[in-house]
Amino acid sequence: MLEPRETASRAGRRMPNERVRLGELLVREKLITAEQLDHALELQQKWGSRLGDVILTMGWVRPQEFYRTLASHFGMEFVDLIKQPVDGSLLDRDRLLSYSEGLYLPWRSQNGALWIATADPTSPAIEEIRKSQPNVRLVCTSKFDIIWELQRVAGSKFSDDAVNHLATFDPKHSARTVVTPPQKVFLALALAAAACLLAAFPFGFVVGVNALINLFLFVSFLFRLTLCWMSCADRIGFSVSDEEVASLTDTELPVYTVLVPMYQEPEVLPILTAALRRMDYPRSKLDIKLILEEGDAQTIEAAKALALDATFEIVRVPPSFPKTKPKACNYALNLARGKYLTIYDAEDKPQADQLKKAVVAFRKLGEGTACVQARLNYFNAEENWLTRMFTLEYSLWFDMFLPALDRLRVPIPLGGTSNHFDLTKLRQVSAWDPFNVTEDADLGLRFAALGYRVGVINSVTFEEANSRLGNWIRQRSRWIKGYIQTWLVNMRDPVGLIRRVGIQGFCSLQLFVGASVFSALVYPFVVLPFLVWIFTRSAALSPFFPAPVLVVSVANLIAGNSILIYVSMLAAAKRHHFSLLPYALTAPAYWLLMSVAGYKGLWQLVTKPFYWEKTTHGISKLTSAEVLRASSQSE
Amino acid sequence: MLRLRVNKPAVSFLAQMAACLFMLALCVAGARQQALETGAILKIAALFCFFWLWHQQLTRSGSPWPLSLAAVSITAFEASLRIDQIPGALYLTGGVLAYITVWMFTTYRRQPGLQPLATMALVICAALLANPTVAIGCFALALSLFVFNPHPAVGGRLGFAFLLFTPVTLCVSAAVMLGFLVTGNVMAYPLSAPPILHSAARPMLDAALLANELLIPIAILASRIAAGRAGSSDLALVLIVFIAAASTRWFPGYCDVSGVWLLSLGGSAFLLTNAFEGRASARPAHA
Repeated sequence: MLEPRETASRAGRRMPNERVRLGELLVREKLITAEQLDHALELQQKWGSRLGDVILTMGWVRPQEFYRTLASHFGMEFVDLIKQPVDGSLLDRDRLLSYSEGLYLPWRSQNGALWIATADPTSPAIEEIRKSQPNVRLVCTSKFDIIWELQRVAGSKFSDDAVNHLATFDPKHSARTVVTPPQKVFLALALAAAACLLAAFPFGFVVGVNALINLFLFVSFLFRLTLCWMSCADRIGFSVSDEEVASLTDTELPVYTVLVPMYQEPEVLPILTAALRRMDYPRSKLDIKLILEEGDAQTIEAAKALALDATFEIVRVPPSFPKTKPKACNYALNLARGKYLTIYDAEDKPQADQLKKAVVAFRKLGEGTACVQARLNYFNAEENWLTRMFTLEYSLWFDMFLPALDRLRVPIPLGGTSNHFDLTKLRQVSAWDPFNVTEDADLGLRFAALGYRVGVINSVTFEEANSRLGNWIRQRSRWIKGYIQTWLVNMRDPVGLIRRVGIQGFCSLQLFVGASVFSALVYPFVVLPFLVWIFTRSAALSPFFPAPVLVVSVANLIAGNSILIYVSMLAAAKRHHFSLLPYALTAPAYWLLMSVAGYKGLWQLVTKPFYWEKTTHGISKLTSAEVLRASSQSE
Repeated sequence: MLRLRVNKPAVSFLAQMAACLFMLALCVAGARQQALETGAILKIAALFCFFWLWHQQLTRSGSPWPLSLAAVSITAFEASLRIDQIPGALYLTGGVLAYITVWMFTTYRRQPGLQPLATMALVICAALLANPTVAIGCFALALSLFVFNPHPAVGGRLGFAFLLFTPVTLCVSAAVMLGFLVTGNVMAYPLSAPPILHSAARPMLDAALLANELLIPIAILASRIAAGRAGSSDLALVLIVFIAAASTRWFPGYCDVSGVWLLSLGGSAFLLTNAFEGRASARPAHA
């Protein structure tokens, strides 16, 4: 086994002017050219980053060679932590975050001296250790070795935290328990009361239930219409102007972590990396983490084959239950180094200035803001009927509903990707719930409940709309299951919820999250009497659906459908998808599909509550073409 | 050198008050031939408040929550009272719809956008349920926009047609279908209020009375023309009143002169408000 050696000097103890500059050393070692050094120095000036970070992110030199040169620059020994692993017993379990942020690890302990392996010998964390512990020696290693070793030594703790942190420290917000005992009692009592009422007053009960359902649906339709009407204004709520983005200087921008959870989707990797490279943000300040499952050899190999520059890191999540995206993100959160953090799906194409807009938004909205959500839309809207309807729905959701909810200052259920977080606040709330399959929606509501603001910014991420029915139903069933989980979690303590988010927030939760699920589930039962009525002229239904009730139901069905058709049109017009306007008329058929997915989601909530229905990406014709283009560019 | 000082909030407040008082006068006038019941008075007051809140919301000075609360209360209140017993409230509704249509027409002419268009589209539907004459007048105004002002911002003529006429088309289709399903007659038109309105309104208003009631709008129009402030909104008002008047001859079974009266009063209420609003937004001038 290799042992620590005393190098010619105590690490980092030489005066800076005794050293050859790092850039010159790299040129002298023929690792970069003089022109590259000049360019790097220019970028260093412009971005306000360290020269090493600039050179690494430009991909001009292999990280291992760079860090060897860095070691020589500081007169330190270079260690390869894969060959000379750290002594796990030296790690302080309470300082894991400090290790990943400061890029150092306690390596060995010998003769009363603590040897620390670092990829950043000048970091404040190292200075602090030196002050607190006199007998400290440094060795240099690469950033990737630190991350690798940290995962090897502390991976099980990271994994355990990723699964259990929220459930342990804030159990009332965790979906690990699907239905709490008081909820079960309430449900049982409600069912028993309903059964008794049905037996005693069959006619009155049916009429009453029908009236209540119709009233709730009608109010939720009106609520949606109001939200859309508000969003029809040219400017609604918060926005970041191009001038505000242009006035930012790169030097003032913070490090930004980008999480990209992926599973079995190696084919879209080239698109993703191309899209992220197009971001208008200093590359040396990007901390991009491709989060891959340890067993997903195919995607891991594809990522390695791309020979990505140092901006990208691969995080391998060890297998554990539940196997969900939020758990993977929680795991990677332990290694995040940014001030802000965002999540993109593998096939996402965010607008280039989105990260800058988010930075401006956080500054403008102030300290109380925990998250800003970018708008989502689809790049393959015109592919088939399903993608058209999906695009209409997303336009409605992100261009109409969410900005209006933001304007009303009520809880916003976040969308799946492109939510930008203040990392400190995200950690404060224990991040995502690994047991909730719409962890994003749940997190938005949790932020609101804890008094944080969630805003919406005027930047778009284009995604791939599901173009195949089976895939669409799988995805939608997961969403509806997650919405039920989110609703159940929030309704564990309705009085407390009202106290935290106000009566407006409570109502909006019922009318937005609750009604989304409810309408999907009851839709067939509202349509069915209508169809039976048309074909049988109500004779078959008359015992249970007296004429006045039937008329109200049918009128509500027609009014509801009309409202939803019209708001879909408004959303399409707002997004300038004018060719989609006629397709809005076919929305009732789309909602029937939603009901199919709704019942699948409900069934899964009972049988497999934490099962993550994987959505397959990269199946669009446009994506295939894009993959070819991106692959040829990366070659 | 004199400087014109305009207290914008005060003038805006005056404008809203003027519009609301005008509306109140409108419904009281409508109800004057019948004894006002407590429910009717409450309803008129509720609608009055709702209109005021909505006006504030549209002028960006109010919170949307009181508006929503007012809407829910009024809906609940509507359900608890028979509408045919409250002609004043019906008049107010018709007048408000006319007011909003002329308002949105003017807004769209100034700056084409989705909100005025959507509001007009929904108002036509509401008018169809409240008063067919008002609905025809509003529809005519929307049609004139479609012919003369389609705009790329709303998808050109096709997009415009979809956005403006889809709600009313769906509404009419639904009404016809329900009429057919309930009575077997496609012309039964069960969602509309005409039978109710007719019974309540016809005895109250005849053509002679209408001529008297039209004096106020005519005076407002004349004063605006004299002051050189007449514009497209004035033209719009004249257009819808003429179309509505013609509709009473074209569809005598459905349209009556009360609709013409409502359109003229509601529209001229907007002109009056607009005069105040115009002053509120006036820049300080040097003389």
